[in-house]
Amino acid sequence: MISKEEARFLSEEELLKRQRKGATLTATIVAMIAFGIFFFTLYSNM
Amino acid sequence: MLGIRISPFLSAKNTSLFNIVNSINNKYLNIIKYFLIPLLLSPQFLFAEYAINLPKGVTSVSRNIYGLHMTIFWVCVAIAILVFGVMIWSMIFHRKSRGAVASNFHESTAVELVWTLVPLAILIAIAFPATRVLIDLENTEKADMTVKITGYQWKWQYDYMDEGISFFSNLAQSSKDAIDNADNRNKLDHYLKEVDKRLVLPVGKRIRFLMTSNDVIHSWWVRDLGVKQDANPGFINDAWAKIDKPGVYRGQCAELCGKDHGFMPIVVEALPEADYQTWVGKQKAAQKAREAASGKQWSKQDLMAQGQKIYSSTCASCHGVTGQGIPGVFPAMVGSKIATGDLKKHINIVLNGKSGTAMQAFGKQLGDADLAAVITYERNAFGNNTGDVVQPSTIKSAR
Amino acid sequence: MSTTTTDLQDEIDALGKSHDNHHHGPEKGVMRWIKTTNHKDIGTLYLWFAFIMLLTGGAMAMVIRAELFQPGLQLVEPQFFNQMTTLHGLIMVFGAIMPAFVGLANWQIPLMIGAKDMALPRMNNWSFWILPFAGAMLLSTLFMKGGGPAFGWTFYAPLSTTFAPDSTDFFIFAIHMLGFSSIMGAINVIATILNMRAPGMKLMDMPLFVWTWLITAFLLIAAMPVLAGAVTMMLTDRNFGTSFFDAAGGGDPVMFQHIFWFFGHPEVYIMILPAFGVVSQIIPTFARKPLFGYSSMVYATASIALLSFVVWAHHMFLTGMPVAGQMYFMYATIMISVPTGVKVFNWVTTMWRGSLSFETPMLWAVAFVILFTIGGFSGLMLGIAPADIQYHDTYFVVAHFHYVLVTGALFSIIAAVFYWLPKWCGRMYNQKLAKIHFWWAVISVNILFFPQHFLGLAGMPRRIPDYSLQFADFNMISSIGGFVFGASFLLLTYIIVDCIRNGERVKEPRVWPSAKGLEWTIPTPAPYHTFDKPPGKELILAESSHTGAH
Repeated sequence: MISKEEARFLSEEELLKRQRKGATLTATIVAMIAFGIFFFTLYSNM
Repeated sequence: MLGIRISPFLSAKNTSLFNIVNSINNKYLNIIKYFLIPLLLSPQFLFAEYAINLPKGVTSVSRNIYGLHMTIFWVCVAIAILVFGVMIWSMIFHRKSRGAVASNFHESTAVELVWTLVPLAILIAIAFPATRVLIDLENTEKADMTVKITGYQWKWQYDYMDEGISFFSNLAQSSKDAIDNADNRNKLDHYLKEVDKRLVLPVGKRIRFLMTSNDVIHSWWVRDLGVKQDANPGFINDAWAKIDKPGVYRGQCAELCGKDHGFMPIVVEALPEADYQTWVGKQKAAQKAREAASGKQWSKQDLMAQGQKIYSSTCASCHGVTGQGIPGVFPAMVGSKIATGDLKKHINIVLNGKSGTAMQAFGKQLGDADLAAVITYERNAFGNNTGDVVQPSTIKSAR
Repeated sequence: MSTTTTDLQDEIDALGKSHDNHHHGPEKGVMRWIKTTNHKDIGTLYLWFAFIMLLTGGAMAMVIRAELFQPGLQLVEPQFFNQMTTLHGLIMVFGAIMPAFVGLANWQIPLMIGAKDMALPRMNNWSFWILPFAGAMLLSTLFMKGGGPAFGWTFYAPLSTTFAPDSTDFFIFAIHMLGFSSIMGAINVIATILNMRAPGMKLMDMPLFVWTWLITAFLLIAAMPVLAGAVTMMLTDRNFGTSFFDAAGGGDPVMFQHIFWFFGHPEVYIMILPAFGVVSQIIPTFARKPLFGYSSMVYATASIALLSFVVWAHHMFLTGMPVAGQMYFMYATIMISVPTGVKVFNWVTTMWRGSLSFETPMLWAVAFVILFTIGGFSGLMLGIAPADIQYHDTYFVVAHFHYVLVTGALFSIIAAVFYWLPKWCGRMYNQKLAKIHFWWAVISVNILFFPQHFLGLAGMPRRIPDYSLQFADFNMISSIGGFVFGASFLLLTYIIVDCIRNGERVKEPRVWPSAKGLEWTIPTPAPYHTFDKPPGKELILAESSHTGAH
């Protein structure tokens, strides 16, 4: 999350860019977890 | 007949939506016939033979379960009265239209703690008796006798391990004839809850059941005995019962096992020990007679008559009473390559089944005479006029 | 890029170039819906898709209830009956309830956290547009040779592997695609909530609907890949000679159930946690009182979610589990009623000494609390392992999960639509008609499902097309309730369409004067783009429905 103090010095455009960068990172990590669980399900039954 | 309805508007092969849609015109007639007429003219809410609760049953396990069930039920009722009571109170007395002014409270750690800990205590109180009952019903040791139960699509096989008795139990023909016929249905006392051969058990003996399956997962369930246990293919489960009272106790398969899941009942007949022993004696004599029958030569007429009986109890649920099968699921008998082709191949598939399909190995289920009869029937009925006559001795040598 | 595109990335580009041209509306024509990356458009698509699937699955339920109206076989063959129960379950779970909640998430989460849009708008488009194809593929199996899947929505092996019709491979592919869609939707929700909140909005400032969806999204991430694994193993068992679930090859059919329910139990909470969120938004509004115990609600939701992963085998008490296993799963299961109870008590206390009024959304929310709790009681009974022997696979179970999913999840979705629809389209529905519809539905649904408790206790197994005569009376009552309840959805369709096309215009941002939340600070109807300027901390706190600023 971006705090109120940080946001004060950001333009709308910069704020959106910062948020999106974080979101991409979050999404990547979560997607990797999902893939990991899928392969673990298969692997644990081999 | 089992599950294949011969009705004017749907033949046995109509299983896909496409075919169902084609027969929609007739369906309207049936909606009128089966729904509107009973609904408008004779709403039969007779409540003649209905129940709204579990039975107490005839074993200690079923009685324990009943007691547990009622305890939890009343706990739930008490909580419901409390919670819904508070809710209804505020819905009546805290209405805006009555001029109620909203308070502003929105937090209380103490209250939250109370309604976390009190339910927890109630649950722990329930868990004690539940655990006791669970341990008791899972203890299958010290059995006086053992019955192995094998589920098949769609019938049960019972093996009395100590007596060497073994037989199949199918849905009774009277029920099969009533599936499409309301008049027949109303005449029956136990529609869909009657079998051709009952599981006969002695009272007062601790009986151990072993459950397994030949094909898909089934579940053997007789409520009055307090027994329900899955029958898994390739694995064996167990359960036990000690029946207190002679009588007839009915149940049915409880795990979806394909098309005729709704048509594989269980009937247990509990007899006093002496009567049970008489029954065992009769079974052994009958088994000897069957073995003798496989030695003699049969006429084609006798084979066809016996074959039709076996076909309708054993084969018809998949291949259809008229031999039509179900396209894409179960092959037809009519003009079948196997039933009109090489006799050896036909005998082989009936004896050994076809792996990876629902076709079972009937060599293990039927005697030589019955197999000879049913194969003769299949090769000469449904317009399959091969003229072949199969004798029990042919089957014996093919085994 | 043209000025009519709606992508967030383009928004950024446009912001950089000029501040004049970013207030544009949607593209015209059908391409608006196909290419859209706007969270409101996608939310609308999800909700309409879910509604169509609800009617489809409902039609199948009508077939089921029609066949069960009387003993004997009247209308359909047993094999087709099994296809109906299977597809009814699959379509309601994967086609109706889950997409409807994702639709609500798409519409509401950005509005409730003061974000411009979802974090990953292009993926958002993709995760929706997979759905119609997956749904169509699932339905197409009905027309294939041998018919559609007929093994129940739980598709236990080996009935679904060795003994299944050929169309099962299409079913597997459809499940894979539905799973992909759900996972992408969940990723988007997590990224949006964690990264796109208005500056200064702390996690504990978030409305409860957002909280429950955040937790639900994590459940989806953990559960859906397990389902994908299960159907993948089915696929290889059917086509490539493996024996994961075949005892003859060293596999274990019970292992399938363990894997399925490791997905399946969290799945039922995926369908109910967002419902908790919806109800937690509606009740404070119409009680005119802050939500009682906000933080305990958050913790209760989180603990329900965690517990949901360690109770799966209570669906399997009869599979031959060791007695110690049954004990553990019994204790863990009945533990779930503690946090669930906390939630119910909190809702009731929110109503206590409030100033209650019963507009349509509140009626549905109150019905949810009462009827879901009844479903919770039967759930507690089912959790007692020895008693489950008599309940398992009977109509008692059918009654239980329809109370939690129809009068639970579905009722909350209807409540949410009646709560937020005026905000979405700027028109008010016919409130009188909506109340008539509510009473119609709530009475008939109880006639439909309550007798099923009795049927189950009297010994009627589930998934049977025909039954012995002792079950006839209650089945007839249940079927009549079913037809009346089914018909109520025709009225619901009329009310919604009438609202969108001819409803009285609403201009006030705060459609419900006592409602709190950032979504009520934007104009009505919600403009195509919202929160170009993120809301400030003061507004966030003032609009909180749980801090007592009511």
